[in-house]
Amino acid sequence: MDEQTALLKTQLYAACEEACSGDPDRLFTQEDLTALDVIPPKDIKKLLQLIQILTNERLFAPVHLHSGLAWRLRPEAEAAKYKQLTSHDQVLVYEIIDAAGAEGAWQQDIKRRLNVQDNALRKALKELEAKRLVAQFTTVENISKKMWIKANIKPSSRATGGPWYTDQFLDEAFIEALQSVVMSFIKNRGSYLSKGERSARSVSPVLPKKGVINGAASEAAVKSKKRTADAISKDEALVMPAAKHRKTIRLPLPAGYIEYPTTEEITAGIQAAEVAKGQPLKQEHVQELIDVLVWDNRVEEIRMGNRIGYRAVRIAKQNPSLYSKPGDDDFWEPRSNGLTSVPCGKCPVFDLCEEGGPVWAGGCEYFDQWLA
Amino acid sequence: MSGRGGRGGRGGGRGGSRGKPAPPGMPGGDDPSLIVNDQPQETYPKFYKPPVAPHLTPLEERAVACFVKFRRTYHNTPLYTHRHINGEFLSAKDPVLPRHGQSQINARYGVKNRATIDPFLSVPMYSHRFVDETRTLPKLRNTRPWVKDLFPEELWATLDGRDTSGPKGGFQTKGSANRGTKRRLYDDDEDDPYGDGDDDEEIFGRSQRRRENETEEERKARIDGAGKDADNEDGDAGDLDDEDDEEMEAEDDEYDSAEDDDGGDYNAEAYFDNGDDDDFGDDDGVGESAMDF
Amino acid sequence: MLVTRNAADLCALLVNELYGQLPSVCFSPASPPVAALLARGRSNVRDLALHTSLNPKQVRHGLALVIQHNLVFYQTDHETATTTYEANPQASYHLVRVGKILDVIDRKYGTMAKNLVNDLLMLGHVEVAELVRYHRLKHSPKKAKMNGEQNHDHDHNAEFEDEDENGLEYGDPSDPFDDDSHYVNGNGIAHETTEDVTPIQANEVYDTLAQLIAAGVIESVVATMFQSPQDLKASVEQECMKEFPNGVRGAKVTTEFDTMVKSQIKAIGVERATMKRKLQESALYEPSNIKRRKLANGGMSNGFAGDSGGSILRDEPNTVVRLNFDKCLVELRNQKLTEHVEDFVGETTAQVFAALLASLCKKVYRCQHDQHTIMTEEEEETYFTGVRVTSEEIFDHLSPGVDVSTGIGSASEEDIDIRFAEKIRKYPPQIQGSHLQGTLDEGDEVLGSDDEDYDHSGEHLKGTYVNGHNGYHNSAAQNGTKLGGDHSGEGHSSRAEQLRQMRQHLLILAEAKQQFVRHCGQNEWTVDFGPLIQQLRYVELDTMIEDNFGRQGLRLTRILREKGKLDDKTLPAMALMRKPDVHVKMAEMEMAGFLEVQEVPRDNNRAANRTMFFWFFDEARTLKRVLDNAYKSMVRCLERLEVERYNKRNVLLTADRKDVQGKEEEKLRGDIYNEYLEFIEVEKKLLSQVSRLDDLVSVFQDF
Repeated sequence: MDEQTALLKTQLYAACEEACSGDPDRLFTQEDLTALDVIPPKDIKKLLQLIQILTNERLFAPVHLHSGLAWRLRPEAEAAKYKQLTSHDQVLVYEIIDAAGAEGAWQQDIKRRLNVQDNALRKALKELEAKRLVAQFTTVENISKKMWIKANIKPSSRATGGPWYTDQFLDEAFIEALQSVVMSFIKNRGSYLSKGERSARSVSPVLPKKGVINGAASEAAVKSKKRTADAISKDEALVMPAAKHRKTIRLPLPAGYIEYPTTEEITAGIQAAEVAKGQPLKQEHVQELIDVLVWDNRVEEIRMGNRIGYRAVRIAKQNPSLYSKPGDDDFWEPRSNGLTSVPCGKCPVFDLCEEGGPVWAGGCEYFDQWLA
Repeated sequence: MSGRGGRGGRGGGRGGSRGKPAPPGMPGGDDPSLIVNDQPQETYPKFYKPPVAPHLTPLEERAVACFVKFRRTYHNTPLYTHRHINGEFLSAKDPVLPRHGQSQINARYGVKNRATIDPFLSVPMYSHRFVDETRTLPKLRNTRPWVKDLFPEELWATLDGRDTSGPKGGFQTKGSANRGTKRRLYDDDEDDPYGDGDDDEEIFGRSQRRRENETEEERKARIDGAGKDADNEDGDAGDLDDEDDEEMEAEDDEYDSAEDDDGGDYNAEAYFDNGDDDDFGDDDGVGESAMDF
Repeated sequence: MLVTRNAADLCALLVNELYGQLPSVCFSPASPPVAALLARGRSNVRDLALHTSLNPKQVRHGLALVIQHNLVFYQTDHETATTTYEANPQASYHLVRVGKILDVIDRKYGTMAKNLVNDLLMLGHVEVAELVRYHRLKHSPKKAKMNGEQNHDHDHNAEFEDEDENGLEYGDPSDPFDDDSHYVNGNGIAHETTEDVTPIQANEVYDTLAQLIAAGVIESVVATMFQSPQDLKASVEQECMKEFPNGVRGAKVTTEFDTMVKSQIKAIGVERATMKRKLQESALYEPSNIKRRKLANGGMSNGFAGDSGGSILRDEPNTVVRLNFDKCLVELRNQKLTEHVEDFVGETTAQVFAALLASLCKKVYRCQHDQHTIMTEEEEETYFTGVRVTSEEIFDHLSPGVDVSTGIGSASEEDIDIRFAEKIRKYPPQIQGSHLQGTLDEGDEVLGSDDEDYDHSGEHLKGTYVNGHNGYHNSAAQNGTKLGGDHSGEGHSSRAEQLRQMRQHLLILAEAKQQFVRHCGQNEWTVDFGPLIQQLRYVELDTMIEDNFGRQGLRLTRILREKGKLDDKTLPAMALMRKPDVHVKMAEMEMAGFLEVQEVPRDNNRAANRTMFFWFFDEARTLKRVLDNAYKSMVRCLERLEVERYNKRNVLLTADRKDVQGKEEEKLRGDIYNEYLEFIEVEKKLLSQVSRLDDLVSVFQDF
């Protein structure tokens, strides 16, 4: 290698380093390298020679794309590690683990790809481990798999399960706690909390409806019995009970409201509340929590132009001060229907139930309890 | 409607404590924590805690009241036929008892003949006057006007209370072949139950519209002719039916001795009145105490 | 209607419960020797007698009654003079709704209307004159009734009092057919006892009846209604065939034939609606007028002039009428939808929604239709193009007692984007199978051009903001109606302000995920019943799933519904659940029939660990199963009621005595009376449960 080549090599590497400073995982194709203006444009031979040298020095890691070859830059410190490798097997194994990055490589996979003896593989891994180059870890996706990763990086969140896992186990208590934080955040930001005291004369002109509460609504809520709309229309006099119950209740916000919390805002809110100690929750994780709440039917999406906000569903049935102990913010009055209120709905012997059989309506113990 | 496991199907995952791993091949069968209970279960497994009946909302309260009121009103009309539940439930409790023999059917439909009558209770007694007559056939005749044109011809005599039993008993015989009990309010539309000239617009003179121009003889002949095959087919059976029927009818009359002679129309008020006049004598005083059942 | 064994049992039980044993025999497949129409399909009298072990006379009596109530169809072959009968399961199922229907008619159309409907349920189809006669006979005020009528909520027994005076015997042969002149001459029962109460006037009854016919609650009966829709079509085709002696061959002739059949069927529809149309044309009978009059006078008034619908009816006393369950179902659907809004949004909004439905459904006569439904052109128009109402029309239907200023929170104006709030959606959303999640959003994309379209009227109204409308209660007693526009007094909001507030509720309904309302044009509103009911099906299903399998069960089902088929690796990660927990839940739900599983073997070993399991949600199957479970549960409730009756038979026998009925408290000995009350309580619970189950059936099938 002549001096000029060595110089070019250093220049190319430096140019590459600069080009991928924003994105360490950037891949360089041959065209990309040419475009760096280090090598004379037509001198493909020179370029290939340089690539070859850099690859040999482990500063370039080749990556096979379906469009052809490309190279990823390897930091010099990383490249230096290859120098510690003493056997061919070690190099091959380390290459695979290195390429796998944060996802890690499965031992079976390495064996299959290298087509080596089990003994040889184990020996190589042991040697690498002894040199503190690789480490074994477990992924939450399959606890029984033997996974290897470079010793100096942490397993990916996919492998660790992200913030939801503590020592490979789903931290359900943690998730639940966060969920209720998200829930109450959405509830508070996405509904109007009517305090019940009515400031008769001081109604702000901007907020004409402030504090005006439907007496009938709150009364019905107190009884926690559905007083249907129809019952009211029957007898108008009933709508306005003489004694009005003033309670704190949640009301829906007017249509067109554009301040329903978005995922970003909820994430910020959680970070501000410092619920999740240790690792800060990323937006994508908060999104996962919100999605679950949507599937749970507690929260719904609402479109505000191009943004998506969230609000609680059945807001009228989520009035903490009416139903729950103080502090229990996650209250939810379940819906019921004909099949949830009849003993047959969940009856374990429903299929056997037949008049004339041993299980029948007349002798049904569940009906006994239901009617009691 | 498959898919639900057999015995204990729904209890599956909940059975819990004593059980064994799921049989191979079951979804999630490779999961050792999935336990399937293979013990025989109780008739009404104790682990199930049913809900309790919810309180009625005012709306439901009103709707049920309407339903009950309507039912009661209808049950007090002569068109209601009573239910006979006793025999059914006795046999239902003991599955060994035959449920579908002739006597059960008799019980179910309240057939009265010598065999089913209780010799002690069938004697007319004072308290019977207050018990609603157990009706097995609705009293169609004279209870209300029927719009016969909307019924098939084979039921016309039945509506008149002149059903002569037998397979063709519902057709009107010559004697009763007028428009029967259909009472006319207005004379101007004798033959036209549909009021004004709307009929002219009707489509094709719909086949449902009875053959109004047919004479009685023609009609009779047509029906007889059509019925012949049927009669021949079940010949004996049909006769048997008739006999049974007559027997029952006879018993019926005997039993319902309080019924009026003029056509058996059930008239409860008359029933009461007659009662007062008969030889139970003065019952005003007795009545009060007797009501305290 | 889905007729399963359970559904057939239910129909038989219902007919038995209301109309008695003999009619129900024609339905009951419960015991093997009973040849049920439901089990056997169409049969003639002889077959029925054979299979029911009844004699033909009994069968004929039973049939007469069920025809009277239209619970069976029949078809007479005039060549052989044989008549075959076929069950009408939908009509028999409707009986479960009798209580609800009476109640909803009472509230919507008034007490006299309710009594008329009650009479029709008693009588089946009947001539108008006879109905009026019966009505006056039964419902004229009597002394016995005076004290009993008011407190019916506490003790419904009291209500019966008006029945026992003459309820035993209806149609006493000696009772002359009174039309007015007779009545005035004083030979009616009502007359002797009522000094202080005027008897019901015949023209009042005729008027109410005319209103009900115009509204579609009561319909006139023609012979074709006794044929099953299939038979009707067949016989029309047969008639038409006569016009084609050479047979129907070739495309051209076939088209001609089809057109002819269609026009004949349409003619039948016109025939059926003749009376309704005639009455509707007399403008007084627009349903809105009924309401207005009701509000004005606190009851149906009889003091208005003009060529009233009542007099039109009077001229045709032999018109046969019956209750139209289809229209009643529309009223029940409105009621159910209002309940849902109350649950999802709030009470005031529900009231506004009720007003919207009331004005929208004036011209809606049925919830669903199929290929056999015969519709008039007017109906078709409203059905297929949809009806819409303006804010003002809705406002006119709003109960005067509703305070529209309540029920919505407030937000500062800069937090409200009126373009979103007032967005107009010209087209109904598509029903997208089980993926209703996306309805709202995807709908927007389709209507891209609509995005800029919003109702500006909201902006104009902003100028009319009125402060200090707090404590506004429009008392019904004082003002009767808001239409006067004379609310100048302090504390009363102007009509414009109230209208603006009411619009806010409508906008919330339009913005709701369920899309209760569609803001379909400038100040115009409509409801897309199809997609909305579809949403409600999921709501009810989800309610059951959450109740059965908890919040996590619901989560898993909804993930599957949204994502389609998923294997058991992906699911736990999305649901943030432990894998074993997911498996247990899935197995539970699969066994209960809420989920389906598909096995995909990875190789030929067919071992569990070499198989991928895909879970999915089969909507159609689940709905069918839930529906049948609901039928079965209803049957069980009614059977239980029967057993309770059997257990208390001695008490009930006494309570049913004619001298006791209606005066139970007074006549029964203390302990017996208590037992009787216990039974009444049990009966209430069971019957209301049946009614709740029917709510479910309605949502899943009939609405």
